[in-house]
Amino acid sequence: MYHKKYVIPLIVVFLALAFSPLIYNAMAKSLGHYPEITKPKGECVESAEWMRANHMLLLQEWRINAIRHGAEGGRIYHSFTYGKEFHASTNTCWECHQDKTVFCDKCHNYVGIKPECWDCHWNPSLEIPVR
Amino acid sequence: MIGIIFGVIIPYIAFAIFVVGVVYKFIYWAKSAVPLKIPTTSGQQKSLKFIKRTIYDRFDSPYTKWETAVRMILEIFAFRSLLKNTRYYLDRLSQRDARWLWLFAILFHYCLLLVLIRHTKFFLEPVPSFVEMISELEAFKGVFIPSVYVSGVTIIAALFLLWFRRIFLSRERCISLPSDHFALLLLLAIVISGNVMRYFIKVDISAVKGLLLSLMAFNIPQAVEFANSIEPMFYIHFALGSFLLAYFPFSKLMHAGGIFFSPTRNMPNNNRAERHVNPWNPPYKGITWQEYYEAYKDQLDEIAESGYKVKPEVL
Repeated sequence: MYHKKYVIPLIVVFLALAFSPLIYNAMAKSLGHYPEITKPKGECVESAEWMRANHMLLLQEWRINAIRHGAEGGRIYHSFTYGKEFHASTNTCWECHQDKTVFCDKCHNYVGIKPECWDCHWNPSLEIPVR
Repeated sequence: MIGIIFGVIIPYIAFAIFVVGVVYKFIYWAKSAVPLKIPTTSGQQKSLKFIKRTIYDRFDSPYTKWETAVRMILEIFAFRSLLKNTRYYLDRLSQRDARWLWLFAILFHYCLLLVLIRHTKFFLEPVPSFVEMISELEAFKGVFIPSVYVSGVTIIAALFLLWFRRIFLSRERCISLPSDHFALLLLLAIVISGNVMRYFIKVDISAVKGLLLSLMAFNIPQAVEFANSIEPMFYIHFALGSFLLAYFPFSKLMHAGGIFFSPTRNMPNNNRAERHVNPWNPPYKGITWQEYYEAYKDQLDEIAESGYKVKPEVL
């Protein structure tokens, strides 16, 4: 093997990069970590499995229906899992999920996603500054 | 079952092939000799003092190690050799700008870098703040809802441009091999499935991260549990990504590592100043003047007698 003093560091750097997630997680002691979420009371508007993947689409649909078709009954949501009717509003969510920090934020922080919704919208974990 | 195969078994195999394959390629390339000094240059090489060299010449025709290193860095980060991709026609001695390859390549590679950095949020726990910052910047802090990541969309366009270049330009089409098309199509399939998964057919990404972290911890039962709960759409993206990893070391995609081993780039152009010894030459054993003189004593003496200088003055 020629030029060992260049090639061996290159291989070491490559291996370090390839295993960097493993090293990072081992140092942070978070290998195999998954957030534990306390199950809120009551049932969600759809099945929990579906909600876990698609809640953002649901909220988007609710937003569009409320803004564009609010007067024509757009705020009534028909659940396709349970066949019930719900009021399409985040306030419906907050009835069961009473604390954003112990429910929503757990997974959002876990996968590094910061939804912009809560820049403006109200949520029960919001601390309103006292005047 | 599909979860166990594509979520647990194939990723392990693919990653092992990737790591072993890349290291094997590095060692394989490092074992092959470079018999000649062949840097390709496009600047004035270092010569006599009165021949001036500009700063461009120093990095286009490097003389020292550091200049070569700077040239390599510029090559890796700015793809400068693709900028030489200009067209010449026989009927006129002019060149026409045809640097589309550079534009498309730099578009694709930097998008890929951003996409890979953003993907680290599925591998790293806790998520580094700069990854979140890059994600927010790319989405322009949520101008569109859901956040549209610019690099994720641009990379599709860049790959199509690179592919159309191979399809619609006759000369490029002529020299394109199936492997050239295959690499582009595989990457296209990966980025399109990723975008579809992000914007249309959603999957539970917290379970995806759980799967990846338990794969890293070699916690197989937990990984199987997560793998079985994830939607099939994820496995299209994940399996194609695994195939890419396994395909990477043995394909043209290995240029990522091969750039460091390309002798036209990584050698300084100091041919005249330093002797480049071909490493496979047998060791050369010379003879001294005394041995030479002993061997041809009679003839040398005869030549010296007729007035020629035979003996070197400095010994």
